[in-house]
Amino acid sequence: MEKELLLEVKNLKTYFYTDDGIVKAVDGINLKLHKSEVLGLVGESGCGKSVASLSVLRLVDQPGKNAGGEIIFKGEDLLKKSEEEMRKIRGSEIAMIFQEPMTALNPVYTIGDQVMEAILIHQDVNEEEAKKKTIEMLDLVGIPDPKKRFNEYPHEMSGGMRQRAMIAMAMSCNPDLLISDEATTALDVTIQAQILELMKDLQKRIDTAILFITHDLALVAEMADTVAVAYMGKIVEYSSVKNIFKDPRHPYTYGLLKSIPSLISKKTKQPLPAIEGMIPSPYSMPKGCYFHPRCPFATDECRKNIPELKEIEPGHLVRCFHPVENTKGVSK
Amino acid sequence: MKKSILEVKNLKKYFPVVGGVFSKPIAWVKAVDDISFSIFEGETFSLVGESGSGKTTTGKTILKLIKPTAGQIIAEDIDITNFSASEMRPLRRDMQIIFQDPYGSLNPRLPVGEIIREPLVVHRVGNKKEQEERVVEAMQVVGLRPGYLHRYPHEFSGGQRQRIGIARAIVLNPKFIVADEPVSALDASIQSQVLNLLMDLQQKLSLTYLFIAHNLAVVRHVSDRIGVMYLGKLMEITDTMELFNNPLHPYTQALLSAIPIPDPEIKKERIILAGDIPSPINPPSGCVFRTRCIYAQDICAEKTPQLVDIGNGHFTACHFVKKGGKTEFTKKS
Repeated sequence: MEKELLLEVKNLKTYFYTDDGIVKAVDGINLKLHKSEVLGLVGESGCGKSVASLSVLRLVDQPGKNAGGEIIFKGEDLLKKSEEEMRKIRGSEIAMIFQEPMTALNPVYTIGDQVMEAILIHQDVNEEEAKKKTIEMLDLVGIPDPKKRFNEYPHEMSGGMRQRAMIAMAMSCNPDLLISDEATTALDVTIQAQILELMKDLQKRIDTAILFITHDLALVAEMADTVAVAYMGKIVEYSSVKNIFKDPRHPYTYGLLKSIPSLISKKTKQPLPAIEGMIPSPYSMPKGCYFHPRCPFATDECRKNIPELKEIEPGHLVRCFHPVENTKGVSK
Repeated sequence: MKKSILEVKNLKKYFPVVGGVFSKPIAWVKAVDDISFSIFEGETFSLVGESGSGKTTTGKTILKLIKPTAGQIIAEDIDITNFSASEMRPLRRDMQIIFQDPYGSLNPRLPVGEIIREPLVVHRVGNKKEQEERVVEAMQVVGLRPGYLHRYPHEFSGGQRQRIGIARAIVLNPKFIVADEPVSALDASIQSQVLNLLMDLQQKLSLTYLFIAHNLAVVRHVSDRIGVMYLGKLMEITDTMELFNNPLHPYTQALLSAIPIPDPEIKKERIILAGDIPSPINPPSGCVFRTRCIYAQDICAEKTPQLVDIGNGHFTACHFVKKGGKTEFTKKS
């Protein structure tokens, strides 16, 4: 059964016009997100995953600019909306949680005031009802003693608690889409487990779709239904989470998965199969496929032409002239 | 019998919290609170734990970069706990450190060649020509082109900077290196390159590592033995495989179960710890983990469990883990 399409990003381009040249941070990205689906957008620094998410909310700052494409959210193009219309959407229909809960929260307002602000802006309630709703939300995200915590400032809370407060704020208006940008990266592993559990739980309860952005492939395996792998502003592989881990066909995805130290393998203290080299400078991108200088399978064709994102089997898209065969046993 | 290169006995490091008009200590942060362990020659011993567990402080205290509050640090049978800076100097040739942050740990005003040469200058090793030769050699060993000698740190990527930090650490031919989160600031594809380099250097130069990290998959891959820290104390020490196959301390069990697995088809039972790590200024009485432990009983608040060998060099600090690894856990009512 095909679920209702919530967000469709079509050929989105976000370029940064700097003094040193144009940086194509997001270079023609296509994404599809259905209702209550979790889409993992994964990649290393500089792959454009954060800029892509900010572009969806139209929050990219100067010198960054939209350079084409469409962002169809519930059937309407967000790029054609006025700033005022966007403000109504942000926080109510699309909410976002960021990596650093300390900088994303305002240090001079209490946690309660900040969560309540979102409710007051987007919902037709009076202050008393908003406060009640806020305390309910703080309770829902597992903040102990929410009535007391309502009056605390961000610095009085731990990283995990702050991230819970951020989630309370994001979920307070029952958004259709939640964008989570490295939301657990700054947290310790036991706290990360708590927050992921909370996000999964809320996602089921409120039926929100999540665009889950991370650099950590293991988190994608835990959270996502579908995965998009980004490299240098382009999607290089797009498939169900199962396929990405069991049958990765792009040499980059394949290489990344092989290079992560295993939690099962007995062959410890052995060299890891690393991807050679490093990401190119965004000011001097290689000709042809952006990954070819690091790719063990690169041919002349890869050095000359940029491959298209092609469907190689139903629902599995790969941007490569020579998709990896025989990927058996890659997942650990 | 394995020879220990470093022994730590009842090490404590308390940092003062100052307050009041006269800036007197009003409280103490117990960053490291009575820990003991040995590191054997040629091995990689890892300290794992979450932020605030005291693993970095332990690493720095061992190198005497921070003065210990109490306890003993014995390097190759010499008690260096109370050595002065000048007494430490000859020993520092053998003990080096690699830092987490490849941006903050390199002087931005010095070219790479000078950064790597500095330890040789400080320790007056050879004349300038010999020093330059050793710098070039160190750069080649870590996979940096010697042509980069005159470039500055900002011209390099994170992974390359970490290689510069490693070259600086090995240029004196040390025996022992503290690697403090050496790959956690790096991207996944670069992380494996640097881990391979560290493992390769260990073989080539017969190095002993104290490896400090929070990424358990990385630690599992590189370590021979692992010590698990929580709130300034060691909870468990044992061989890598034993720790992952047979974790005995409830904290280790929870920590391992919290690791995300890069396989969507494995859904594991997770022990979700309630609450946050308590403040090291006012740690819980008795066992420091008891406030989050699902098995905590009355005795845990009253008595601090000692880190004891329950057999085959497997140490745990829990009242309910007995000799031979038998556990007597009962869930809190």
